[in-house]
Amino acid sequence: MQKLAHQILLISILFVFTACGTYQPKNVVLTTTKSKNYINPYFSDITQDYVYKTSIEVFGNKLGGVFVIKKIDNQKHRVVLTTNFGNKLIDFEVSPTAFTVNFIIEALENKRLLKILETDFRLLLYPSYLVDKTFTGENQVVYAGKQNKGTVFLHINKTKNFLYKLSFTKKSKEKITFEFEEEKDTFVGKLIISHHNLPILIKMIKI
Amino acid sequence: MIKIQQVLFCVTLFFTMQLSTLAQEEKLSSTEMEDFKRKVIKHSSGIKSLKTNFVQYKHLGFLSKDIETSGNMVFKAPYLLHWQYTNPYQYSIIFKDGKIHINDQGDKSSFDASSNKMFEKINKLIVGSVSGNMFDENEFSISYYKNKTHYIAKFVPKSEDLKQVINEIEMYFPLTKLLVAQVKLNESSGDYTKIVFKNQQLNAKISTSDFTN
Repeated sequence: MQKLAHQILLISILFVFTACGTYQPKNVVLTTTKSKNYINPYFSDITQDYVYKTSIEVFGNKLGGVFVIKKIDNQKHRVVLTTNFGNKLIDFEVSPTAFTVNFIIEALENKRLLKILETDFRLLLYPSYLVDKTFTGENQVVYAGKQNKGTVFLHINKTKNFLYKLSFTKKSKEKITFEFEEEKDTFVGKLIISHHNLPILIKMIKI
Repeated sequence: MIKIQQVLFCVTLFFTMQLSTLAQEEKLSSTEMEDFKRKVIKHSSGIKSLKTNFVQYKHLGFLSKDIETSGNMVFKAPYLLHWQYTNPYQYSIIFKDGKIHINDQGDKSSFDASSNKMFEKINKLIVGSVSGNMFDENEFSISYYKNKTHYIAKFVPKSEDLKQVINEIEMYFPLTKLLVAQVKLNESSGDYTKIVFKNQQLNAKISTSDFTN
């Protein structure tokens, strides 16, 4: 585990100096700077169990399992990752202001890894996003606003009116992309979380 | 101090009795226990192969219903094992010749497990769960019960590495049959994984293709 921690640190440092290009939504123009709350359309039904078959690629290692997400109150979600056999690997609660780990196996106890999970799932599960810029294009509307010490860009498909991409940027560099597919009501059928400054890729398919 | 201990003992005893009454389980006498163990060990030593379907229920207290997955399993004595989920997703794992082969929805990988004691223990654990012979007193603290339909053996791991993964294992043997019908893996939080075996075929014909994924 110490080796993994060293790898994480080294790669983090490397990527600070080799950051990716400036992020700007394409083929859209700024149409308004009015502030509003964009309600997160996903993971919002308190009666629903959101269960996903998951594959995680982290620093060249692959891990398969099942991710479970449940909204447990207005602000908070509970998230559990198990192996395919059902063994719990991590169990945590996340809200816009708090992150509590209920259980974690020793092999995953790593501050950096926990910070990554906290950031990813907080961004994914915000009940709403405060946006102050609206960009409009032929096929999409993009809302942008400050969130989590960075900027969130929410890409909405104009024809089908659904959130298909969330980009998280810091200092104009894209750091994390969340892609949503096959949505049905509050349930996303397929979700991909990709990091641009760390070799981490999480793929989730509804089961 | 002695008084507090006595009170605690009585409270513990009371709740233990309450729980066991609720579950209608009674502890086996030492004669029953030895008889049961002897029969299971004898029976499992006659298992050359086993094919079975299974349904797995993952219970997490905060969910509205258990997560249900199902599949099949093929075992060939002593340690050849293919565990396969087919619904709602495809995932299979084979323990063969010191190696582990995984096929995760078409994504295949293999690695050497012979040098990893933890994998060796997990393999033994699954094989033991399937055959019923897991009576390793060095590895587990074991207690024995029965209810109206089943014998129940409860295993608490002794080693720290296994404790990390499992808090307690319960195996259910039908009173009339000495083959494991259900395995329950309990977590300290109260969450659990329950695996129910169906259509068990003892010493069925096994081919090499049963152990490829």
